[in-house]
Amino acid sequence: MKIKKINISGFGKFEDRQFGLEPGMNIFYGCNEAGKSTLQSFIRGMLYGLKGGKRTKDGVLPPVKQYKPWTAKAYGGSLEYELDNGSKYTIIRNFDRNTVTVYDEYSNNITGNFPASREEGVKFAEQHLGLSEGCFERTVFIGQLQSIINSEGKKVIAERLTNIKQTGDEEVSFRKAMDALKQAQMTYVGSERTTTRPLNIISARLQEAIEEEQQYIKLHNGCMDMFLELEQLREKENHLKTKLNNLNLMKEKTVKKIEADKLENIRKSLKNYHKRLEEIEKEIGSREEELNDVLARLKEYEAFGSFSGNAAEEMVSDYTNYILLRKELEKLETESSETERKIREIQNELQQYAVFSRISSEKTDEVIQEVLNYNRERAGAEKQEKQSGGSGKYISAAGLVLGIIIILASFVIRPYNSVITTAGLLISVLTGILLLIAAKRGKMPPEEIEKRRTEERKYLENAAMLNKWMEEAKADNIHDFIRLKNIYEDKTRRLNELLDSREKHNSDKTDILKSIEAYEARILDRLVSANLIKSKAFCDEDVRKWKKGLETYNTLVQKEKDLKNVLASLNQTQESIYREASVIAGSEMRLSADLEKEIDRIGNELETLKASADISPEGTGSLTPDEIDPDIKRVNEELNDTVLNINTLSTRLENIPDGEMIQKAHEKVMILTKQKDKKLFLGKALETAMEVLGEASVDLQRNYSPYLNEAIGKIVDKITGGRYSDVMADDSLRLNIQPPGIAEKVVPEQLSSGTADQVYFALRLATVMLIENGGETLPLFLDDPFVQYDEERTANALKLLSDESKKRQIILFTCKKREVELAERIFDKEVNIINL
Amino acid sequence: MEKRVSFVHCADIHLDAPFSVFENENLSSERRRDLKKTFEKITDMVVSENADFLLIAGDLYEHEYAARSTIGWINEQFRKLGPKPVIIVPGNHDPYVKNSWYRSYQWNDNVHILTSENPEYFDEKLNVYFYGIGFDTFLQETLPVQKPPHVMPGRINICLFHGTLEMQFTQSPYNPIDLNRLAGLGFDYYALGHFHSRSEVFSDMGMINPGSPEPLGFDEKGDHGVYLVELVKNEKLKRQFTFVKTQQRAYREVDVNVEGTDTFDGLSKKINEVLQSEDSRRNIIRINLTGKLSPGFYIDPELLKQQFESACFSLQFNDMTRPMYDPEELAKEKTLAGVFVRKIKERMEKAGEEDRKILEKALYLGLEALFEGNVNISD
Repeated sequence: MKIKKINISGFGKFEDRQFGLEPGMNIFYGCNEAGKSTLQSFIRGMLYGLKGGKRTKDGVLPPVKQYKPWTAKAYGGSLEYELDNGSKYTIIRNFDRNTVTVYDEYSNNITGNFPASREEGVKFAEQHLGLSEGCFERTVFIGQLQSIINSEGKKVIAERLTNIKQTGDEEVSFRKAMDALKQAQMTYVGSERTTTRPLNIISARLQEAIEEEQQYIKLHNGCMDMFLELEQLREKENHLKTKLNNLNLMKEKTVKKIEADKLENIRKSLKNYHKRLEEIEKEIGSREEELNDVLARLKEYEAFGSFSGNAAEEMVSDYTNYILLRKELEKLETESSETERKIREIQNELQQYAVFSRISSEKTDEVIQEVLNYNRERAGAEKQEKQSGGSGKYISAAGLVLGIIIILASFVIRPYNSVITTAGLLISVLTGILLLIAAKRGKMPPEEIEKRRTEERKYLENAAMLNKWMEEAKADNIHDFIRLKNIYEDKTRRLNELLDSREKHNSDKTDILKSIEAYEARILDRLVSANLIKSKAFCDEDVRKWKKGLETYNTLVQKEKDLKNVLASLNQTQESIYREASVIAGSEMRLSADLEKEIDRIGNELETLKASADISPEGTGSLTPDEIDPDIKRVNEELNDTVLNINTLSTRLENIPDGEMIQKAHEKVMILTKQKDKKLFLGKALETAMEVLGEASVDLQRNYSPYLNEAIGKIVDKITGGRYSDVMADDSLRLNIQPPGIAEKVVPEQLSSGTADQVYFALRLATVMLIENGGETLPLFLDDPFVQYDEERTANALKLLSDESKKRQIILFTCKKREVELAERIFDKEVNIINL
Repeated sequence: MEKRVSFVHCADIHLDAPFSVFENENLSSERRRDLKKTFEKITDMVVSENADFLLIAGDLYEHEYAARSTIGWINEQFRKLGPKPVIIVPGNHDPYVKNSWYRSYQWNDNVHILTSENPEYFDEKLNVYFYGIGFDTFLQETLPVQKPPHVMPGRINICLFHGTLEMQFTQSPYNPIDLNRLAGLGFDYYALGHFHSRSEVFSDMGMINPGSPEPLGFDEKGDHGVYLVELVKNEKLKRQFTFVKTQQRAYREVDVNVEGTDTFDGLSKKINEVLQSEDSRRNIIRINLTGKLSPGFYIDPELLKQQFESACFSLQFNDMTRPMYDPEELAKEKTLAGVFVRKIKERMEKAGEEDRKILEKALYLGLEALFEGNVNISD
């Protein structure tokens, strides 16, 4: 390839510039900033396009922005070149629009003949030059010779070298194969770094499917566990039901036991009542018998029934009085006969004192009194009066005392005798009266003195009479007469007294008899009433009998009463027992037979209870229903909870979907896993293919190292004037040089800088030659390559280039005038010098 | 006195199992229905053959997948047997774990589950003693500790065993037991389960493995069913067993060589022949496409499947074809392709089976990339 014309419409600092180039050596001369680099970029850009995009990492603008012209409106230009086969092409590019048109020498637009891609555009240069932009840049562009090929460059060149050799004839491109494999990997597989490739899609779906499956597995296991729990709950339910049943039985049994105890107690009580009732009935029987006896006996004594309550006392009193009165009567009769005897005696004596019986005593007393009073008026009769009065008083007082003593004595002496008391009382009263009478007697009133004269006349009369009487009475004197008279009077008085006494006795006797009769009548009445006697006579014995009879009667009555009371009380007790029994039994108990029946009934009930209570699963111990109830409650609650849990769980289970979800999820996972495995397999195969292909290419490259080394050797030999010829490049194009006379190989850096540069220059040249590999001859672009060269070396290098320029176009950029002059000399004017 | 019993022996029904070979979930459901149909067939057989009881030697259902409704359904089937006993030993797919349906479900009275807790059941009426060795967990590397069996000559003794018969070379984490040890227990019949392919190898020792009554995958080819067994015991023991096929469908895998075929029609013809001969409407078909592809002739299995699916219950294509490159020849070249082939082959020599597959695929992919400049991948 030889560039013939460069036409810049606008590119960087260039605007509307044209450069003509020769097939051989071309030198662009210009000082720094003249645009050497821009020109190089333009040529490269025309062939391969300019990279767009944003700023690079280090802040450098992308080429397409970097070279945007400062003033010109157009951004682009054209490039004419000729290939080794003589075909000519014109390239027109507009970098603004990123368009390129390829024309052949006949101005045909042949752009469509070249492969094109959106990123790289129309790939005409690749086809015409046989190498990529990278390869082009790294091989044909040579800068300062010491900064030879960086590692990236080495790789590109090595690959290129490999391709050149082995694929050339067979038209198989290593690169193409690698691209195809990579493409396939991206299209059909993808990688961990990608996100939208098939593998990624499948992986994501698989992950999703796995998660889904996990959810179903969880659900399934949960469901199974729930089912197990449900089963366990059902077992628990049964267990609790049995337990509850047992507890209820136990409770029932306990209740029955208590009931039995209760019944037992009732029965016991009833038995007790029954026993007591029997006793009571027996008692009642015997009492009734007793009562009948009493009543029978009472019949015997029924005559006594008419007597009042104090009849016995009255009888005793009556009878005692009767006896006393009888005795008193006897005494009275004795006294009466004594009195009669005395009366007769006195009446006999009184016959001597007849005179006094003819005259009245009052007359006599009056006569004597008058006589005596007359006499006493002369002799003072006061003394007499006093004397008689005094003795009376003393007698009366003594009688009073005696009476009182008798009364007192009657109270003291037992048994009391009312007769004595009465006697005492009488004596006392009499004497008292006498005393009072005696006290009244005494002084005579003073008026009576005047009466004495009357009395004196009377005296004489009286005296005569008196004398007569005295004679009759054979009285010696008055006093004798008085004495006689007094005797008479005493006797008369005595008689009177006795008569009185007799009168009194008779009266008393009548009274007593009357009393005795009354008593006797009453006693008799009683005795008759009591049927003790028939006649009107009775004796002590009868009274005693009566008394005894009454006593017996009363005793019997009392006994009857007592017995009736006892019986009433017994009946009451019996009744209360029946009442109590009724209460206890809960039914009316009226008869002992009722009780017996009830006792029997309870007995039977107890038997039944005991029989049924014995059928129990567990011993009740001494538990009471109240003690069992909490257990029953607890178990019941537990049972209810369990049933609730069962229902909840059942409902939950029913709501859990049942079916093939888990299998389907698993199948999905399996299918996706298989697909993924397939993709992974394919990916691995593709990777392996790429890896092995890479290795094979390196192997091949290693095989081509000798060619490279040979070419370098030739060039170095030429440059160094034969000093160094044995140069080897390793797989990664590191150079080893065999200096003459030295056993070990050295790297170029160990040589002088000039020599090193020469070696590298040779390597580059050799590389270019090898890359061409008989294909299109590539132009060589050199950018100030000899900066560090001395003149001789520069000359040598230029000579080398001069040889080279015969077959290839060389485009050298320099800022050194000296180099231009040297070139003019060495190339003998066959050099195209362009001043920028 | 002569003792005589007849019974049905089955195992490994795997009710409600997932089926991952079908990309269509309706087919998986259909297969689960097939399992139920087969199981129903078995229980029906117990009645129709007037067998005395039914033995299920493990893996009746899938513990991890079985739906509640399925468990109820199973019990319904058992109920149909009336008083005829159903003896079950739990397998590694339906082990007697804590939340096992065998524990938590109220099974019919005629169902007897033999576990390590309670490994025996004696049926007085039939005078048959059953003893089971099953699974308490999903993985059981040693036999569960359980009460020793009471084998008595006066009755018929049957052992249900789910697990691996340990022979010289096998080592399995599933109830391994030495064959002689098992035989030494002296049972009259050993109802085995666990392996899905039927085996009468040890029938002279009274051991039968009926296999799965319904095949569950392409690794279960051949006939599948249960055994109808009759035992007659007087002085001598006489065993008579008949295999009865119960499966609804079969798994069929056929290779179709595409070499020399470079048109779709040609390939279609070959495939159609296979489908007809394999009763594709009933069976589950897998066609392995093999051989070298003619240059420029590509196979898209997905497209093929679409083409033939309607005539099949389930059809799968397994593309095992290779491009028409000759790696042997290429290896001789000093080209990149040659170096590539040699390098792949070097790696293959050292690789395991899995990696070898990858390398083989890489080989053809690399060559295709090198020679065609692109890679054609049928997805």
